Amino acid sequence: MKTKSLLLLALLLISILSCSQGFIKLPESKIDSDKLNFAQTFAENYMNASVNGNYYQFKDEAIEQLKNSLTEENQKAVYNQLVSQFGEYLSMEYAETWVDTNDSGTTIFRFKAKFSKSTSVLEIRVVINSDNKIAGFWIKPWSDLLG
Amino acid sequence: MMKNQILFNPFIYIAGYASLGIGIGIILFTSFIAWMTGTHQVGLLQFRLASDTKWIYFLIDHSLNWIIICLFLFLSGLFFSPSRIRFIDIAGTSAMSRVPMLILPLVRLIPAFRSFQAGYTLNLLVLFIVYGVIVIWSITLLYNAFKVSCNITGQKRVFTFIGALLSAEIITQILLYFIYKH
Repeated sequence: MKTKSLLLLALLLISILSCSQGFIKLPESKIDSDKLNFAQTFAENYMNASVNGNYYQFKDEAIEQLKNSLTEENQKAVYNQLVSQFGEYLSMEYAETWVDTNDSGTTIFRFKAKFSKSTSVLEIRVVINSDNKIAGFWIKPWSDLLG
Repeated sequence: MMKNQILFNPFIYIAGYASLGIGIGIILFTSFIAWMTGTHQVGLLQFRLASDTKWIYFLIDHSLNWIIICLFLFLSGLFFSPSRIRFIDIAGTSAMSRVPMLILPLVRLIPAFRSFQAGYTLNLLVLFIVYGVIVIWSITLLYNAFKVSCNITGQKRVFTFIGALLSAEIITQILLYFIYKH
């Protein structure tokens, strides 16, 4: 009886934990592959442009605020800082997708990226809004916690 | 009583090469589960959640902390014990004291604890509570390992143990910082 109660309590706790978040991680089967391709293509093109000493030229795939902040100078400065800290960008692979539980339509795609001098992978994060536009782009050390 | 001794002071039953074998096995297995779940052990008192690197670095997390604690406890024993102490006893019993460290990576095998939101979430709170229990259990085991292996008595034992533990913690954290820097 005691064991059963403990098991029930544990199950209840796990259910509460799974529901208590503002963003939830999507299982593979529920990921919108078109959105994922869009996010991954953008991130790869952006990183490849930086590696080649160029910069990513935005069209209408991103919101205005992002375009205004990621100017040619800023893109180059950010990449140079990454190179000095972690080395050259080598590759990236898809890791996970999160969606907002408040139905805002925001989707977060997380990729793991390798850099030449770093023993740890970094995160490349692409945020897509409800209008299917890129609303956020970050490169930072990987954490299993979505911060 | 017997149950308590197995949980908190198993070294009166197992020591020497047997405990070293068990301890190294536990460190290897813990490192493997830690790598699978991305659970870094930063010294004895901190953890970091990131599936971000190769297995060898998770092994370094665990073995480095053990080696340094073991060295400091041995040095304390050499200086302060009235008896002759054996390095193998300290190495074995301190390795076995890492049994509780297996719990956190095992908890992280549960999907709700694999990858979740940062901040004041219930998941994180549960992990912190679990980790608090793990650290207390592990330090108790380590203290008993020191007591059994070094034969230092009274307050001298308490202070040398605290000194060795704190020094080992600081050195481990500094070394891990430089290892992960690049």
